[in-house]
This record gives sequence, structure tokens and C-alpha cells, in this order.
Amino acid sequence: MLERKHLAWLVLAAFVVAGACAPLLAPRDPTTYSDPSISRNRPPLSQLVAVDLDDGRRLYTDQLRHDGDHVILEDVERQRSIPLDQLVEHDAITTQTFLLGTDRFGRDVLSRLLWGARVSLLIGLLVTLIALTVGLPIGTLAALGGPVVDGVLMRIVDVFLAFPWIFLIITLAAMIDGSGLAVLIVVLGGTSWMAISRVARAMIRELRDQAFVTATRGLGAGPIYLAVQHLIPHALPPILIQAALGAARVVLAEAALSFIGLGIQPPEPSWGNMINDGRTGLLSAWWVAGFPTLALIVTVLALSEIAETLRHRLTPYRLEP
Amino acid sequence: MLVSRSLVAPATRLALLTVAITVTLSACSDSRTASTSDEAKPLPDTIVIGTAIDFEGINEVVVRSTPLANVILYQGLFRTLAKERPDYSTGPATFEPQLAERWEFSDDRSTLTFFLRDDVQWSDGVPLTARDVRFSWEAQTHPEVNWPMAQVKEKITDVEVIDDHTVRFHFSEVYAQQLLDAVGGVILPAHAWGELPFDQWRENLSWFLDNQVVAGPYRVADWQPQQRIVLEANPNYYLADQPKTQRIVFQIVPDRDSRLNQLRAGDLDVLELSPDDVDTLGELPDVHFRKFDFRQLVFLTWNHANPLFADPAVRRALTFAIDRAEIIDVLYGEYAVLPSSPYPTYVWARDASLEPRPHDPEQAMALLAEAGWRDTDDDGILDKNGEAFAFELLTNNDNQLRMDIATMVQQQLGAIGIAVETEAIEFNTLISREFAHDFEATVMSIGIDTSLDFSWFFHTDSIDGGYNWMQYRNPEVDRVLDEIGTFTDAKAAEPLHHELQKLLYDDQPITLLYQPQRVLATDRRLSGIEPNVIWSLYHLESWHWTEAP
Amino acid sequence: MARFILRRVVAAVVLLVLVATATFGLVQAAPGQPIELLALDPRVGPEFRAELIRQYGLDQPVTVQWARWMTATLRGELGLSFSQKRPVSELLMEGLGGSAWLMAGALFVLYIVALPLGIVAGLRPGSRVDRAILVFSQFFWALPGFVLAVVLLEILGVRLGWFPLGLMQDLDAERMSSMDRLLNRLHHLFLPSLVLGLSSVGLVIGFVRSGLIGVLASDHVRAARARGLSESRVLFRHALPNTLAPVIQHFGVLMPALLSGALIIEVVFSWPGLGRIGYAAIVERDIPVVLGTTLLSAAVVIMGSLLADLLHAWIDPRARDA
Repeated sequence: MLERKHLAWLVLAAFVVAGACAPLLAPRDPTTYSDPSISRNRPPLSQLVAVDLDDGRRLYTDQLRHDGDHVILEDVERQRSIPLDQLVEHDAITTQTFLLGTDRFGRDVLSRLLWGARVSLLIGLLVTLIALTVGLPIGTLAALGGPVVDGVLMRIVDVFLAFPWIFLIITLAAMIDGSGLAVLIVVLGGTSWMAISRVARAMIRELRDQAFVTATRGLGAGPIYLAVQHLIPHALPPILIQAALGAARVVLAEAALSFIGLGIQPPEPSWGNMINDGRTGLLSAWWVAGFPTLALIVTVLALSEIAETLRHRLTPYRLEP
Repeated sequence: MLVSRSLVAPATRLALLTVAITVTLSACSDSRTASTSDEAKPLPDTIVIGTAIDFEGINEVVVRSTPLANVILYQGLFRTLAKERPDYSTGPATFEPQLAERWEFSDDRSTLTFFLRDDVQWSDGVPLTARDVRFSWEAQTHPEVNWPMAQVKEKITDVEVIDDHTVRFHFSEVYAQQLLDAVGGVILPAHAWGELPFDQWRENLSWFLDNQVVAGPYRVADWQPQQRIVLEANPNYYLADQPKTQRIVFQIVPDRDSRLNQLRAGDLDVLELSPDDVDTLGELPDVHFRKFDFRQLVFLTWNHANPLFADPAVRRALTFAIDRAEIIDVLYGEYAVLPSSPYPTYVWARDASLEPRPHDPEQAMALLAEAGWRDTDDDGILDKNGEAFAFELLTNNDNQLRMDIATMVQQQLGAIGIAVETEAIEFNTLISREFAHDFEATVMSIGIDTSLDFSWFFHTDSIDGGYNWMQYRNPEVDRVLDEIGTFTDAKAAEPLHHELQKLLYDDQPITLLYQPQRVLATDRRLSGIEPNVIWSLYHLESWHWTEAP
Repeated sequence: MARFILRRVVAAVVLLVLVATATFGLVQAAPGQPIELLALDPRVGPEFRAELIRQYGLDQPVTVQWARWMTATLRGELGLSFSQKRPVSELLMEGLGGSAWLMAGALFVLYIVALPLGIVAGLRPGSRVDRAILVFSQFFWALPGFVLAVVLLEILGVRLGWFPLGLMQDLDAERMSSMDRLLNRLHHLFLPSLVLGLSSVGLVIGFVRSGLIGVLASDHVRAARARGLSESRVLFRHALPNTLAPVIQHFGVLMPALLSGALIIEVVFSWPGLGRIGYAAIVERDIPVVLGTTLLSAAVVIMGSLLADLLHAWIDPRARDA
């Protein structure tokens, strides 16, 4: 039987692959739509007949019949008649299936979910990398740099931690001119390194007094060599646990920021802005916000399960919450 | 963003006229069971209106001019000397007496005398007199009070008290909007608020609510910040049978979805909606949707200093190439109209003989070819002297409709060989770049008032310090604009208005996209509610229930 | 003990000053100053602009602005709001009441749910019940609060009509008797507190669970058991009081999480509070209000963790040496 920890890795891997291969896997373009009055708010597994015109437009219909040199598109509210010579030459009439339904513009929810995975997981990954890049050196420096350096760095950490994070992010987002993925990643990265630096500092302080480290130092090793070769590698496991939890938090934070309009800007999909976009119809057109919510929860649970299994394998270690 | 950034409403001549109606207002009944039982239930004494934003205080000259504040102060708490009628579609808006029974100009029009009603009392029983009118003018023009609309009083040199009920305005010059400027702003209580020196008004916003004295049909009975503003009938109001409803409550609900939920559940009786809200809500048995015109124009600005857009023929071609009907259809459905000129379709001075330019890509291509734009290198993009026809179209990144417009324009112009790159930037940055003329083309909107003074938009003098972001220069247009300003009888300027529209139609300094409309959702058992272009919430004192909900 | 308290208080004050300085620095660096926004309206004259700049001291060097702001802040004066022209302290007080109710409600939900579940999980680590509780707590951690809010509002509010759709009290609450008013307040408070409380429930369950596991394995408890005391007596007299200390210690960690979550709850439930004030101020670049709210929320966090530290030290003397 599949164990939970394996399942967690599997789920995460599946989403990463889905996100990475979104351009190949997504059946449709995530941001454009055609003939919205017909294609909007269709439930999962809906099928529509698509008619491609030679001017590049695509029309959708529930029912199509031929009438001489015209095709007739018959829908509840209107009937349209299109001359055959306006259609593209090949495969002008196809049946399109929307596996996860469409949103209020008629955009394909599955395609948006896949592209959204790409954006949301990319944010999770890059923000965690930034948090590691900033947090690890600061933690190491604080542990090895003597009491003054330690005091200054830890006060900085305290200051960052004293702000409720959402205020910090809003203020930072207002500071940086512009918007978009890069800004969001920088802002989130700038506010999520503190826990990692604290864990790193605690671990390295513990390690530096241990016998093998003292011995290496006795052999004349410099502090940088010591940190890179011996201390950081040994301190890494709890730091990685913290990073996995941090990544989960970042994916959630993106959703919260989308709610107040500071997340990824539409029409580019992210799980967060898809959830926010669909929340009005959560109970009628449940699929629009429902699937990204599910994806978000599963991802966050998988990340925290991974952190949990890492923790079990290591010596009991109290995490920074 | 919580704050609406969908439009830039320029501060126009008069607060009365520029009251924007962007605030989302809504209201509703207490019982959520739509009872159909026959037993006669007493009519409710309360109407609940939804709003996204809070209000700040009751003194018009020191609070910000938000739509909510304007409704509460102008429709609820205070009165003006006269008020503008919503009859702008048949002729220049006329005025209806309010505190003044009548008024007359001197023969040379240098003074304007108002004769006040003698039955008006403040809510504390003190009569409202000419001294209050003079006091209000003093407050409005006092430098330390710093009323943002003070410029409407610029040409009024004195307000002279003739007797208790006669007051005379003296003007430094004779011009069209003298009456409009004189009646601008509400009348404030001299006996009560004169206690606080003007130079302390700005720092003591809450003092006025603590010393509340009003003359309108309602007074503020309770203000729970970020929750509700409760207005209650003013027993001393001078019209005995008004207001018809005891309480008007503004319920502050910042989140759009929460507002819609409260409307559905019957917690709100009145709510102003945008078209996509109507879509989201679908049919509601107890709610009546009223469509009304919105004082806004959405358009593309072309920077005429850029050689691409200097030629009017090219700008005409751009207008022909953009399928504006499709943009309206996709984005607004039935809630927008395509105007032929910046004069909104509902105003008297509009030249109805002008038809909006149709979508005609072939004519666009022909005009461009005439101007030397051809695809000589077969790359699918027009070029002239080796330069490709390519430009950047800016929008603000917090407005989905604008970004959708940009995407559609990009696609439509691409079809005739014009390469458009779109960029969505932060709202404040976009506005700064408009004023600095640092752009090629943008999607923009402005608020329009009923005074129909377009000199701040198209006059050469408005390139710096005005809204002529396009840097449009046409001496003919400047002449017509100047001439319109000299007419004291606005109706007589009609031929000039038509001439201006013709000039703009030929020059296409901007490409108009649409004139949006909005919707007021009201409980169907409410009566007396008639939104118009100036006020979405108009004449509160006549609103009433006809049947218990 | 006195020295410990003094040390902690001084540290908290220093942190507060640092936080205030950081806030000030952030806002200084922000683009789009309010005066620039005013300047967009060509009908606002240059004199008016100059007057505003002078009035708010924006023409002074940054250090002078900072010093002025700090000294005023120490006196409790946070200046006037740019946009509303009211004292910032007055605005903040309006929000503080609502925030306090919401915070109290959320903490109540949090501990009512988390303490029993944490204890049950801690008593039988690795059991099925423990696993189920873990899944429960992680689910609410992973579920964005606004999604839960929307679902609860639609079902319990709009469709069933059991709970109000927001705001702090009914329109006519002021006319009710004080008992009815309290009940009405609690009725309104229920859903927002539930959503906010559940979002942090996993954190507290974790503290209680691991705390209890640690205590149960300690010599102290083993000794009690060895003396032949009953299991329930061991649990209630010896183990639980000792578990309380780490739970209190982590109170300071909860505060920033709850304050952050509160912003969204306040918007969805139309609840008056600091989050809404702060957010609106940032959108409008209302600097004095941004500074005020950020500072106040940080102060609440710092005070919360100071209080937690002191309580912890009072319960567990060993903590005083830390």
C-alpha cells in the first residue's frame, strides 16, 4: 500500500510536472476566450460544438445543423446562420470537451488550473529559494559573528517578525513601483526569510561547540570554510523542514494577496486569483473556484506532510513556529 | 483594490454638478421572508442603502467630496439656494427653487439677488436667514478653510445681506455660469458653526457632528464608523409632509460580493451596481433593476506630439479600424452606448445628426495608404520611410475592463497591420504620465458634467495644467471653445456646440469607445426613486415603501 | 523576578522604537506621495499645495521628520490623517474596538477547539484519533479563510438565515437592553470568529500536543505515577499545568498570524477594525494613518509576546534565566 509520505511526494511531483508542462498539457489558451455568451459558466465535462471561421474567430453552439450553403447555430437565446465559405477549410466543425468546465468568460478551467499551477508553484519555489538565500547567511553570520553581529541581526529579525506579515507585504508592495510576478516574488521573499535564519542560527550555535567542529577549527580551518563544509550541511535538515513549511505558507499567502487585489494580476491565472475570481459563484458555478481551492489544499497538505516526515526521520527538534 | 480607480473625475465647475455616482449604494429590508400574507403589515420606517465607503463628517467645506458625502450632505442634511433639475436633455439644465423662492439679475447682470423663503428653520428652531448665506460664502472662500471647490466662488466679490430674506451676490465679471456658481455649495448654520473660528475648521472635523444643526429633511442620528450612518427625519424640516420615510440607513460594506449577498438576502434595499454585478445576481424576485446613464466617457488618447498620431486622417483611420461595437458587446452588453462625440448622448447640445464612425477596416487601410502607410516589406506591418507603425498602449493594471479593451484593440489594429504592444501599469503612474504627456496611446476615462465646458479637455491652453493630455492643437477649436464661454444664454450657444462636435468628429483627437451606464437595484416595493445622470440617489425625501416587504 | 521584568520591558521598548523607525523608513521610500496625487488636479493651486507641504512638514529633511514623528508618537500624538483630516489616534481608536472583539472571539474559538483536541492527541500520539486530529488541523490551515467565509456565509447566512451577513450589530442594537445587545453582538461575532480562529487552530493543537508529550515523558510525571497516583490525577494535577507554560509562551506567535488574517475577515464580514483602516490608508497613501496602524499592530504583537513571556516566567521560574 502506498504510504502517506510517498503519496505526498507523488502529489507534489504531479503538480510540478503539470505546471512545468502546462503549455503542452493545457488543451486551450488560459487567458483568451471565444463566444463568451455561449461558452461561459459551463459545468465540468460539458461538450460544445466549435465552429472556426476564417477570420480567426471561433463560435460555440449547443446545436448545429446544415441548411444548404449555411450552417445554423441554434442556441437558447439566439440563432445564427453562417455561410459555409466563411469557415476555415479543414476541421472547421469540432466537438470540444471542457473537462473542468468554463469560467464566467468561457475560459477553460482545466487550462487555467494547469497554468495556475505553474505560477503558484513557481512563486512557492522561488520565494523559498530567496528565503534560503537571505535567511541562511544571516542565521550563520549571527551564530558565528560574535555577540554584536548576533545582536544586530537578531534585532532585525525581531523587527520583521513584529509586523503582522500582511501589513508588511502591503507596505512593501506599495513601495515597489510596478506589479507582476517578479515584484510579488521579491516582496514575499523579503518577508519569509526570518524563520529560516532563526533555525539556522540555533542549529549552528549548537553545532559549533561540538567536538568535530572544535577539532576542525584546531586544524586551522577558517570560519567560512567551517561554515560551508561542516556547519551548514549538518544544520540543513531542520532548515529544509522549515523551507517546506514556508513554501506551503507562500502558496497560501499568494491566495490571500489575490483576495485584496495584490496577487498575480488577471488575466494571467494563479490558483489564488482563480479562487478569488470564482468565489462569488462558489455555490452555483462551484467548479471555477472549487478546483483551484482543492489543488491549493492538496499542495499545502503535501508540503506539510513532507515536512512532517522529514521531522520524524531526524532527531527531535523543536521547530520555530 | 478596494478603492475604485475606474475613473478620473476631474474637479469641474461645481460640487453640485460634479457629484460622481460611482459609489456603490444599496439598501434593504429587515425581514428576509418575502411574505405574501394578506394581513396588513405596517410599512417599514427604514430604507437601507449599501455603500462601499464610509463618510467623514457633515461640514461640506472641509470633508472630501465623495459620492457618499455628496448624497448625505446635498440630499439629506442641507439645502442649497436652488437646485439643478435633471432636464439637461432638452436644454441647458434649469434651476428649481429650494431655499430661495426666486432670484433676479440686475440689468447689467453684475449682481444676482435671491429672495429666500421665510418659513425655513434650522433643526434647533432658529430661522434660516440671509446671514447664513453670507456666512456660507465666507466659509467657502476662507483661505484656511480651503474648500476644494472654492474656485467656483472666484468671481463673486461680495455677498450682501439686504434684509433677513434678501441676499445679493456681486460678480467681478459677466459670464454664463453665474447662477450655477452662486448656488454652488450648501448653506451652513451661521449661529451654530460661527462659534468655531474658520482657521480651526480643518482640524476639528468631528466638532460639527457634535454641534449638528441642519436644514434638510434628515439629520445624522447615529454614526457607527465603518458600519452604518443612520439618518433620521428632521422634525423641523420646512416641508411638512416630508420626508416620507423616517430613517435612511447607509450600510458600509467594503467587499463587492458581500454587498451582493446582502442585497440577495434582503439586508439592503437599495444598491448601485455595475453591469457585471447584474449578471452575477441574475433574477431576484423582489429586486427592481433601473438602468441609468453614467457621467463617464471611455476612450483612447493619442499623443499628437508623436509623428504617428499627428495627422487627423491617421486618427480617423484608427477609429475606423477599431470595432467599438464588439468591445461594447463583449464587455458591457446592453449597458453602454457608442457616442459620436464627447457630448454624451443624453445632453441637449449633442448634434444628433452625427453618426458614430462605423467599423470599416477597408476605409481605414485606404486612409492609411493615402497617408503613406503601406506594408512595403511584407512583414504584415505597415511602414513608411522604413519606420513600422508600432506603438505602446498603456492601461492601469487594477482595472480588468481596461486591460480587456487594450487586448481587443491590439487584436483589431493588428488585423490591419498596426503593431500594438499593451502594457498595464500602476494607476498613479499612468495618471502622472498622462499629465507629463509621456505616452504614445492610453485607454482612459473622464467624468463629464452637465455644464458642457470642454475647454479643459480640448483647448490648447489646457495642454499644461489641464486635461489636454493629447496635446491637441486646433486654433479653430480654441476659438469655438472661447466663444462658447462668453454666452450668458447657454441655449444660444447651441450652433457653436454643434460646430465643435463637427470639428472633433473630423479631427478625432481621441477615439471614443463608449459611454457606460449603471444600474440601481431597489426593492420593488419602494417608490419615489428616480436615478438620473447627476444623482444615482436623488430626492431621498420622497422615497417610501408602498407595501411591506 | 524584578530584574527579569525590567530586562524584558526594556527589550520590548527598544524593539518598538526599531519597529517604528522601520515603518517610517518604509513609508518614506514609497512612491506616490499624497502631495503628488493632489498635484494631479490642475485646479488645485500651487499655493494650496505649498501650504499642505508646509502644514505636514514634508519640506523638512527626513531625519527631522523622523525625530518630530517619534517625539510626537511618544506623547501619543500620531498626527492628522491626510485624507480625512482627523486625528489618527481617533481613527485608530474606532478600529481598535472592533479588532479587540474579533481577536477575543477568535482566541476563544481557538482555545475552545484546540485545547481538548491537543490534549486528546497528546495523550495517544500515533493513534487513529491523533491522525484524525492532525488532518483536521492541517485542513483548516490549508483552506484559505475567505473560502471558508464565503461558504459559511452562503449556507448559514443567505440560505438558512441563521447568522447575520456581517457588521458588528443590528441596526437597532442601541435600543436593546444591555443583555440583548450583548447577545446580538455575539450573534454577529460568531461566524467571523469561527473563520479566523479555525485558521490558526492547527498551530495551537501542535503546541499542546507536543507540550503534553514532553511533559508526560518527564521525570516529574513519572515520579507522580510511581507514587501510585491515578492517571486522571496525574493528568490534571501534574501534566496539564506544566503543558500550559509552552502554550502561553506561544501566544506571542499567534498574534501576528491572527492580525494578518483579520484584515480579510474584516473585509468579508464588513467588520470594523484596524485592518480595514490600514489597508484603505495604504491605497490612499495616507501616510500618518499607515504609520499609525502598522505601529499599533506591531505594538500589539510586541505587548502580546511580552505578556506571554512574563506569564510564562511567572508559571515556570526556569524561564527567567533564559
